[in-house]
Amino acid sequence: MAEYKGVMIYAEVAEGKLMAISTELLGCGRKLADDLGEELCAALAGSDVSSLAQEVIAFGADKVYVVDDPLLKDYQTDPYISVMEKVVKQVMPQILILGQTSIGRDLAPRLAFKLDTAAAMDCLELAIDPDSKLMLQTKPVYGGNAQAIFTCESYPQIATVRAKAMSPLERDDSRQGEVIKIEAGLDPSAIRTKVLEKVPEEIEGIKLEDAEVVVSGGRGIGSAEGFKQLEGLAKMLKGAIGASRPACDNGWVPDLLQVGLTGKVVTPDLYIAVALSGASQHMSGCSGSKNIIAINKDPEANIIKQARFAVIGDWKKVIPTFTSKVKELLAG
Amino acid sequence: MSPKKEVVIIGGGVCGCSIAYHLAKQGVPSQIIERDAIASQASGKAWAVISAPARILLFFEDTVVPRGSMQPCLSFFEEGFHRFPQLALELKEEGGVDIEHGELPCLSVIFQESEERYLKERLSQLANEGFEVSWLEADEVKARIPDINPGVRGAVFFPGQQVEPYKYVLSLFQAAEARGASIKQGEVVGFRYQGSKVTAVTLAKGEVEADVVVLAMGPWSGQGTSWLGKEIPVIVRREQCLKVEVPQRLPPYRLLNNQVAIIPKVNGTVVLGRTGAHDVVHEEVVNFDDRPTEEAKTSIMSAAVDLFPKLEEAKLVEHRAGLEAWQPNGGLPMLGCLPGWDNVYLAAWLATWGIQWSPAVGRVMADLIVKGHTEESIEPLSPARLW
Repeated sequence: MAEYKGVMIYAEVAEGKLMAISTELLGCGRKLADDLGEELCAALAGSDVSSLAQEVIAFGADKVYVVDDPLLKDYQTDPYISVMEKVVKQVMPQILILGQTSIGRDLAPRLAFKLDTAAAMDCLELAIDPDSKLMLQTKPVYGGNAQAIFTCESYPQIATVRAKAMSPLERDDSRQGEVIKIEAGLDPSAIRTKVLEKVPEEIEGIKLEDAEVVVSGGRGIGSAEGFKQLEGLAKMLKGAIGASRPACDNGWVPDLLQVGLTGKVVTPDLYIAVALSGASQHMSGCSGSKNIIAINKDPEANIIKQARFAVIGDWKKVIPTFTSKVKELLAG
Repeated sequence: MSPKKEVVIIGGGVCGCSIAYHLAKQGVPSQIIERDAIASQASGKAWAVISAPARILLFFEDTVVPRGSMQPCLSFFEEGFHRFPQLALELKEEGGVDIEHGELPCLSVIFQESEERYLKERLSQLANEGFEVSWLEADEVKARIPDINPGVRGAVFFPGQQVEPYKYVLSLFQAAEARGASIKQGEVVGFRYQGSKVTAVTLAKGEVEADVVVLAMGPWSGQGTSWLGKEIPVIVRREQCLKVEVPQRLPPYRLLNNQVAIIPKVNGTVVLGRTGAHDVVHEEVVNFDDRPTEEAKTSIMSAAVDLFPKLEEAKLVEHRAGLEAWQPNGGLPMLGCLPGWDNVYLAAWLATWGIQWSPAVGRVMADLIVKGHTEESIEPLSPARLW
């Protein structure tokens, strides 16, 4: 194993910009590398991405391996796997971390297979075991009811990390680092898919999974009209509407808005849970929220225990007051 | 009983919610105490098929339990079978939720000659006793299910129905709620009592006063009854199923062999469940561990593809596991008053038939609580048989 050294993160780029998850990975990778006393490097692949290398260094990398090739313009599995396999085999990091994004979810298991190692998906925390020096990978199990810590005994140890689980470092443009170019060496005929056209998904307002504020309603809302009131608040906070399963199954909101084990998993900064009890299956979809505010008339409801702030009362009275106060604060 | 009494039902699964619904129909509001949420355990994860009673006689009796032993609850299968169409309409009206009820005839398909011989003989007996069953030859099966494994020898045909389990339980509760029932989230930790009467249900935080207590705790019934000094034994089984999406709708039949059941749901998804060599071979006594297992996923999927090869195109969307509560030897439920107590009722051991039996269980328990007696004798199902 002696030849595997250092920590590598996969720096994800979208629309020519470094994604937030990449800076979070750099923050996390920096700590792992420091604990190991080794270097932190980043793999940056794409088309016209070289200019982003300095930014990657500013967020904590010692070295950036850049693969810049027109064939990498849009994310496709074939060329990206081929490039990443090449980079990892050349650099031989002992740890590789990616974001738990659609790209990271696509790359990590395939890379692990090609490199004859394993990948731990959707980790919430990564650390170095002081004795074995192996990476301790903490991830939710049992639908989010518990967390388990895994180690991987083959190299590189690959993990994907959930968005917003890690904090980025302060950007420091004075940081120095090394930029190393690697040729993509792609054979265009080996790319089995072609991107013909990109069609943006049409969704009114902000996408539930991306929203920094989610206003979620439960069975206690009682009707589709009730949800209209929540929409007003969500709009004001530039947030999205979510719902628990009974609210969807009652037909008050579309199933697409369901948060929970059988619905979406959201990790907003603020999750306002209105008239929902906080069943375990719902919580596994929203427990990653930074702050939960619960509005519920039952002081014993599970959501109250999970919430940072709670208002005990009838949402029909609380929401109008809350909304007008938010409006006042935003105006001020 | 006087209408003022507080009926407290412990457990918000299909059993507790059906009792609440039937009580509400008789003008008795109840309060359900639920640790998590309505139908958050097995009730919301079930296949939710309703079988013709003959299916149980053919594929459960004889093979798993002695012939005739299910007789005391055969009427429960019939009651579910006959009431669901009407119940679905009522619940849409009163509970506000479409429970996705639909006809779903069942084909139990046979691949082995020995099995065919046995079944044909038993079928003619059942037909003579007036049950609605018939045998389909291989070509008739293939005419209905063109993409079935071509090795099929024939199938037993039963009428059947289905619902969406979570929506059903939710609607039962909401219909009860519309008539005054309520639900409280809380963990029951014991009881307060005076003499042979329970006076309150003790929660982790606080307590709820009760004139009547109903234990509808499914797999956790052993714990509930132990607090009252009458612990009943419960065999806990973990059942697992997969929900998949398919490019084209499947023919509208529940298709099963001795390994797997393929259940096309009303919304177009398909549920794949394990049948086991007639149900109990796959018994998993698992200490309330309801995690789905990789082993089950693989074996269900491969058995399903074997039976219906087109499922190779299916996309897995959900793998769920739920816990069933069984009587240690057999399949009968336990319904009635808990011996030694004046005001405690028990509904347990609903096995794998919680949804199918729920109309009967709700009716019987509500009658017992409100009127003190039931239309039919439920003596053979009474908890008193244990002591």
